Amino acid sequence: MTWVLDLALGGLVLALLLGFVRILRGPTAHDRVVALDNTSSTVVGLVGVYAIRREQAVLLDVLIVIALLGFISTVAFARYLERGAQQ
Amino acid sequence: MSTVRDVLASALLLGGVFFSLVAAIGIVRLPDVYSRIHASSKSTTLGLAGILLAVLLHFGTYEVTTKVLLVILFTFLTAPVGAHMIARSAYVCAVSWYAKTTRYDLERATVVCATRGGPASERVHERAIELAQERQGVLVFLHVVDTAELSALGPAHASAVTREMRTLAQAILRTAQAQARAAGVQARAELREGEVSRTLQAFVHEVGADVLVVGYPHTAPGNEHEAEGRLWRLLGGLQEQGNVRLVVAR
Repeated sequence: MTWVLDLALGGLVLALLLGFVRILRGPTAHDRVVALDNTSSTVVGLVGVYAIRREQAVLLDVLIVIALLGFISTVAFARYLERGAQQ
Repeated sequence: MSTVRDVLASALLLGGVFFSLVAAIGIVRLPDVYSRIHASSKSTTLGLAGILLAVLLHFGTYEVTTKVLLVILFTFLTAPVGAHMIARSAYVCAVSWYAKTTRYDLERATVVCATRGGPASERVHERAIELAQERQGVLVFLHVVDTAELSALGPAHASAVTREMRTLAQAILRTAQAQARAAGVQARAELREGEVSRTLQAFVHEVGADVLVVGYPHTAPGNEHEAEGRLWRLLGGLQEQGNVRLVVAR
């Protein structure tokens, strides 16, 4: 079981790094927001796997908060960029 | 029992990680914002659901199950909304899409430019090219060889004149296409024969044009009334139907 968890963590970290590549490369703010949204989902998965690995069910609260924050930040960014375009 | 559960959890976990990775690869590899949103939102939701179900199976207590199911429900509700909002925002901000995109359902624009040739037409072409660029549309140059006036001539004479006019029209269309190419727009050229107004209207229907660009008729100063009349006759039925935007370039 442990090796499966390690493999999963490795895969998610790789996904995270790929998301960072897109955040760095852009080219538009929207690309970055999409990558950021994806990153937050990946982090949710990462925390889930980590909770199994550490046998700490408490960590699942963190997961709820990150999922919430990810959604709210995406919506906020979308609204913000849209507002900017209309002015 | 425990092993069965572990195997199931492992399978779900690896499946989830696989989809998360696919999403990340899609975000890096796909060519524009819109396709990246598509990659990210779909497979992330599925990947996250897999991982979270693995967490659920691993712990299996009521507390954890409730929390995990809540998070899964939450992501299934919010991921599409977030993706939609950011795509909408990108569209409103006019973020450009991949150059090879062929289907465009929001504003599929076919711009038809009726050209007469001559120095005044250059401005008309320019306007049409501008519009085609603005709406990422298809640009079609149309020249109508007016055969309506030729019936008075004898048939042999008329066919010779028509041949001449056709050669001239091809040169005009080539010039227009060259102008579009210089501006970086690929344009199609079409040559039609017949009574100008009717042929023009038939062509607009045939290609399903969204925008029709025509030049303001040649006129002497102070003679605008007559020019308006000619324009009105030319566009005739198109004005009443209203699903084609008419642009008169001067």
